[in-house]
Amino acid sequence: MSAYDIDHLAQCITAHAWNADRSRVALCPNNNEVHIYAKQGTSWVVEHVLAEHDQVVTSIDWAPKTNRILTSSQDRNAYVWTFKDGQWKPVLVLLRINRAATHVKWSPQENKFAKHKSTVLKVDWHPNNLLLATSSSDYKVRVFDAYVKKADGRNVTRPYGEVPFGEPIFEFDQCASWVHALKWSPSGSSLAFSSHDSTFAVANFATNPPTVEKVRLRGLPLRDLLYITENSIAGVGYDCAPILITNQNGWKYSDEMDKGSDNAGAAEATSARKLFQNKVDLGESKSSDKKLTTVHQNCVTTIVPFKSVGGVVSDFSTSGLDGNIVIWHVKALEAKNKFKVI
Amino acid sequence: MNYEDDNVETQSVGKSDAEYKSDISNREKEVTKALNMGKPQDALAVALADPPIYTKTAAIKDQNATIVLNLLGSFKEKDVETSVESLNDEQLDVLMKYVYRGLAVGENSAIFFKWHECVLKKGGMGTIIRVISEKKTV
Repeated sequence: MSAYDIDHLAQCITAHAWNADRSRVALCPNNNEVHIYAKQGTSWVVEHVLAEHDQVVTSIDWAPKTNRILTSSQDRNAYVWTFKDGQWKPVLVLLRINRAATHVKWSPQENKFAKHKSTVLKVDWHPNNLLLATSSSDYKVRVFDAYVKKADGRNVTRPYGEVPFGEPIFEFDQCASWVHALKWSPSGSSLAFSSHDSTFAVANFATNPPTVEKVRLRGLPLRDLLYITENSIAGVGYDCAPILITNQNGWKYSDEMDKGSDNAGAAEATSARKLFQNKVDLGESKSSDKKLTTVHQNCVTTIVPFKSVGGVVSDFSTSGLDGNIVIWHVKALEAKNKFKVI
Repeated sequence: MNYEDDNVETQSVGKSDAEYKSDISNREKEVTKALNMGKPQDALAVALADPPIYTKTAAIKDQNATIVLNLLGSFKEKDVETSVESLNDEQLDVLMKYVYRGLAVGENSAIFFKWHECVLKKGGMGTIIRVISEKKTV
């Protein structure tokens, strides 16, 4: 079994999401449409085009249980799409925000969803369906109580008591730049986030207030994160290859999950040299057709689970500015690139 | 002021300008002392400790940077690599900020390029990213 499958489905992909049985994928090819692809034989075929937004779609989430698609866009709107009589029917959700909606996500019980205005870059639900974490372009990560009486009912115990709606319970300021990504661990006991200053941090909620561990990454910033297990996180971003960060008595960078083809280092060094040599000799750059040795050819912006059982992800998919959707098989990757998920 | 500045809370964290001023004169004394004892490595550690990143007074940053940049500029090229080897991640980040400041001055650049090369080798691209993206400048 190969370590990954790659499909080039668009010029550039801003977001993608899978349906419950992974037979279909919804993606935005960097415009106002959402394309739903279905697998037919070995190739992906466009099945539906959802074109209700006016501007670029920023985020897609597909609810596995209720089979509803949630989309948000720079046009400041969100839609909930329901499949009926062979068609996807949109319902406009009034967000009443005055800037672009950047990210939407179903809560675990799929009865409410979270959105935020422009300065918030990502949101993530705690598995308990009550806590919501946001990462923001004001360099902060916040945790909110998102209890809504209508959706949650009366018989719930709120983990931090009666906190007013919209008041952050915790605020983390370990980052010194835009916080691009954040994720709760499968159990909800820790929250990982990463920012544009190549900083990665994990807040541990075993204590109150939570303790935070900060890791200064060697590489370029991470745009999205995924817990593969409770103690292993895959991060993707400007380095074009997923990296692995693990927790063994403390969170640490572990390894690259895509090490590129074998002669990667050498090829890169000569090509960089060649590029400058060409510029000097000919006054132009001639190596524009150069391929990176990694699977993705540009910044990776999204990572989502493809197959997971009980919080352990065995396969995940990534998409990015190169328009590729790549499905990675963790076990085969481990064997090929000699790293260890713990 | 750009859009981002409006939205980022500016807290009054860190030390007051008076405290930074006394830090700087102590730093100057200790750096000179370490150099006189022939311990440039110790001088480097003192120079990189607790930079005045939170002050908004340019004069304080200038005064502090002059001391650190003079020290970095006084290193011999062959000593740079071993000095960088002994630094931790936090010190590497601070050092890279001073290196960029040194290169911006544009004097004695050869030695600052040597520092740059060695910090990059040890700390990776992340050190450059943090110089560019962080607002906490030295």
